[in-house]
Amino acid sequence: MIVAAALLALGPRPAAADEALARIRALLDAQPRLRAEFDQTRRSAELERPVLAHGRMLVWREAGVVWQIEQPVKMVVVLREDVTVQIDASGRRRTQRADHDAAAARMGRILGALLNGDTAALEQWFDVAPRMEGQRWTITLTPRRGAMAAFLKSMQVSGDQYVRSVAIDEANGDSTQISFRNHRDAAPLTSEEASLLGVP
Amino acid sequence: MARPASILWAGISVAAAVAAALLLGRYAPVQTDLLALLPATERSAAAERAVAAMRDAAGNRAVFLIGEEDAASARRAAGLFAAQLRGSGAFTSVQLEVPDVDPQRFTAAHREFRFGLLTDADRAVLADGSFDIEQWLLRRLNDPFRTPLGGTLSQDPFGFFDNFIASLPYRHLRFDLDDGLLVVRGETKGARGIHVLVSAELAGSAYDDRIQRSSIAAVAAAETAVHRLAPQAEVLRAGAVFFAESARSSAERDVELIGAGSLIGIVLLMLAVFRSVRPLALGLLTVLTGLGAAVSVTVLAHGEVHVLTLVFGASLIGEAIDYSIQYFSLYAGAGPQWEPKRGLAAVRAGLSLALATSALGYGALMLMPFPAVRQIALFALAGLLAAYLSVLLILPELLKRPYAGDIGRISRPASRLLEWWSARVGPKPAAAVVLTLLVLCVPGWLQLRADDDVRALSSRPAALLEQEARIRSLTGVELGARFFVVEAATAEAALQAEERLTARLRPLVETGELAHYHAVSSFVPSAARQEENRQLLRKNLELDGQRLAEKFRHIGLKSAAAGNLAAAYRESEGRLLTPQVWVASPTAAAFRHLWLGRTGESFASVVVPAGAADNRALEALGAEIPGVTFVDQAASVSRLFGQYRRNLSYGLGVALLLVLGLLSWRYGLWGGAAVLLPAVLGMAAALALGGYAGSAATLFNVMALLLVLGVGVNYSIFLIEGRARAGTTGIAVALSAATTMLSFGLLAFSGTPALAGFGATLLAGIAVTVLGAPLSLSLLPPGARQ
Repeated sequence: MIVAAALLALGPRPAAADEALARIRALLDAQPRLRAEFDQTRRSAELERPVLAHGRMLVWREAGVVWQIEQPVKMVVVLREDVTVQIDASGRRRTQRADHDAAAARMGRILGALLNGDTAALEQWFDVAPRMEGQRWTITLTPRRGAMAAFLKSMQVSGDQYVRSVAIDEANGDSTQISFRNHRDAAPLTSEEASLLGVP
Repeated sequence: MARPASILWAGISVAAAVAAALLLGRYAPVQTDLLALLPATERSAAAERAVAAMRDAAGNRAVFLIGEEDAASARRAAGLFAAQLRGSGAFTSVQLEVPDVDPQRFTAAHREFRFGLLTDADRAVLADGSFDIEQWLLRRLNDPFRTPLGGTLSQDPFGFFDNFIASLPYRHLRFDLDDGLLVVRGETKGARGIHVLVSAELAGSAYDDRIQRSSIAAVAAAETAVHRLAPQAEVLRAGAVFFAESARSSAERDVELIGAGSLIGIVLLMLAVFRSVRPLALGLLTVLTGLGAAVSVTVLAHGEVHVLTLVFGASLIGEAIDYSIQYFSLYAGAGPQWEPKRGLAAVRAGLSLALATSALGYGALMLMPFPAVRQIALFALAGLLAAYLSVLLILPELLKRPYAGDIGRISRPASRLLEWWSARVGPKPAAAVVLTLLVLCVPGWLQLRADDDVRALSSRPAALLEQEARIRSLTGVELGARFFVVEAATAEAALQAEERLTARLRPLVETGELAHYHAVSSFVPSAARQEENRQLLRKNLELDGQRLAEKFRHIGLKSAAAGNLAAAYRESEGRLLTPQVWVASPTAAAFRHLWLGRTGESFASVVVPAGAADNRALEALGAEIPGVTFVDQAASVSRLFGQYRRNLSYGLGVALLLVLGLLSWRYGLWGGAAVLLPAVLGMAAALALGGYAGSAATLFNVMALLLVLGVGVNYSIFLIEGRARAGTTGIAVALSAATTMLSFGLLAFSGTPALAGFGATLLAGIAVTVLGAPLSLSLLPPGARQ
């Protein structure tokens, strides 16, 4: 959820910050549907060495996100406004429907707000600080007081016309670094993707 | 000189009236809790206690959601609202800010027991052999969407505890913690908005009218203040106090309307008939002694008076005055020859018989195991007996001077009318009238249907119901109107029964028939289940061997972590999370009421299902598991109403036979039947009119029929007993019926559906009975007693 927010969201901020965000949003708005590959590095004091993973991401702004890890383990997470689905390597699905599960609903609501460019949603959760350096930009999301602050220190999202990287710093010192490459237009969807996202 | 008995009764009456005034005015033991009127509805004692506990859990609390379009405005409005409530002093505590919750600390109580705590989904994987250590470790490590509630990587490397915490019923609550406030995001007034939760603890019982008054006033003032600041703000409320207050004020309006209406009506009628203040004043005196005795006796017997009893009591005014009317008619008819003692002798038999029949009617109600009905019946009996004694003992002392007016101006026409009737309408035409009436009734009876809905007892305002429904849908909080009670000899057995139950509920959740359920066993698995979970983990993780360390190393986790995990597992051997431990832990906060704990010889808990599933399906499902009872209080009460409606219908038949016996003793069998006939006609017509009007037959209509019998039969008795002075007797009967119809007719306008139906049936029944009363003159065999 945190990453999804970071990937898509450009939170609201007044004055200069607003202007920066508007520019960043304009950059990203040109690509509402895209695919990319990602490499993920997980670091923790409890790990002998960083754990690496890679996979593919699909963003379809009206519908949701498909996050697909291929190495070192196969798993798919589908984040939609109405439902969250996890599929493990053996094909076992875990579905949480937003209308019966408030936690899933919360996740879906934020995501939905993000997908629709509703910047008001993010500031309910984060302080949003944008920074521009030429064509490159960075947004720092810091959780506001509340339960999320107990396990999340901050997130940094940076990119140019695409999101290039996301860094997550957890409160316990663990961190996750995700970098994206090979961005391209997402269309057309495969039939499996379409069914996962509920797109006709 | 007055007789000692009269003086004594006068003293008792004054004492009772003063006591009643003090009781109602100063100490206000007026009960407004409608459910206090009901007998035990549930089959088992544990179920009864569960019902009470669930009511208490929500009872003395008021909950508000303050909605605005944006967060800042909502915070401001809620802050003002809470400050206003605090300033009012009407609540013992008002909560707006909540302390920041650290998820780690929140779940700490469960952590030491974590090896025994698994979600059903994880159990299934561990049990079916498809668990793969490496895959699970890698998923836990690489899933960026996971929120690590369960602890650090080495504490919970597979995420089992994480999953368990995430599966707790808290996920059904839609609250977010936003900068120290609990908020829900949803719609406000049709647009997207945010609501802030404010909750307040009442300074006493929600059914205490002083508490009601002060808290309702405080809420109204706070709402006004919020709307001055933010006209758009939405203020939603929920809490027993709001419904109780609305029921009380509705009942108070009824008491005022019926009390004032009957009094004014009686005053006007008495003045119109007797054209003298004396009968009026003395008549009101008998009513007053009746009411005073009624309140005092009821409080003595029940410790309080229910507000519905008072509503009913207000309508008793019209009945209590009947006895004195009989006496006055005789007094007025006697003119200058008035002799109090002789007058008394002339009415005593009729009055005694009338009191006896009323007592039979109310006495039958006393036998019902309904506290409400018993209280009303006791109230009526005490009131009527006191009014009767006042007529016999006080009126002759106070009414010594002969009547100065001339009752003849109205009694003569009445007398001519009755003479005409007696001369012209013989048994045959009378029988024809009776048959015609009964035939006319038949289609009405056929349209009659029964309705035992509990809502007859209360008028729940739609606005409040809607707000409550909005709060429920916004927050996901279930108020628990229906639930399962699980009862067993030990806490462990109760948890195991819960697990058998929830295993049956889960398929309903999957099909969407249920949204979810709340159960203690979701937090605290049974000891057997915890041990089973530990064994599943030991087997799948191979905690005893070296393989786990190898896998850890292979993936990149520090291999010492595997040893630490195994050590933590061994160390927690024999440690069990119990309901006692859970109840004291922070995760119990919003769900503590589910554990009823030791109740007498057994342990009990509550499982609350949420969703649309059919009551009957849930009941059937619960019935299959020993120790589990499905409780739907609304349905239980309705079932009870139905049962008593049927029982009382049989009781009505028995009462008819008893009254017939009583009447036969004086008038012979045929004579008795003739005297009883008008009341039977009145009952038949009241039922038929209900059918024609499309209203349903409820328990309360049957109760009203019982009183049509008890009161209506008096009119025939009075007419027959007073045949010698037909004119004044006729006037007296008409006046009695008019006052009774006036007060019970006003009851038909009560805001409480049960009382309104009761009043309407009585009104129709009494009207037909009094109009039909002359029929008993026609049908009375000539040989019947004078």
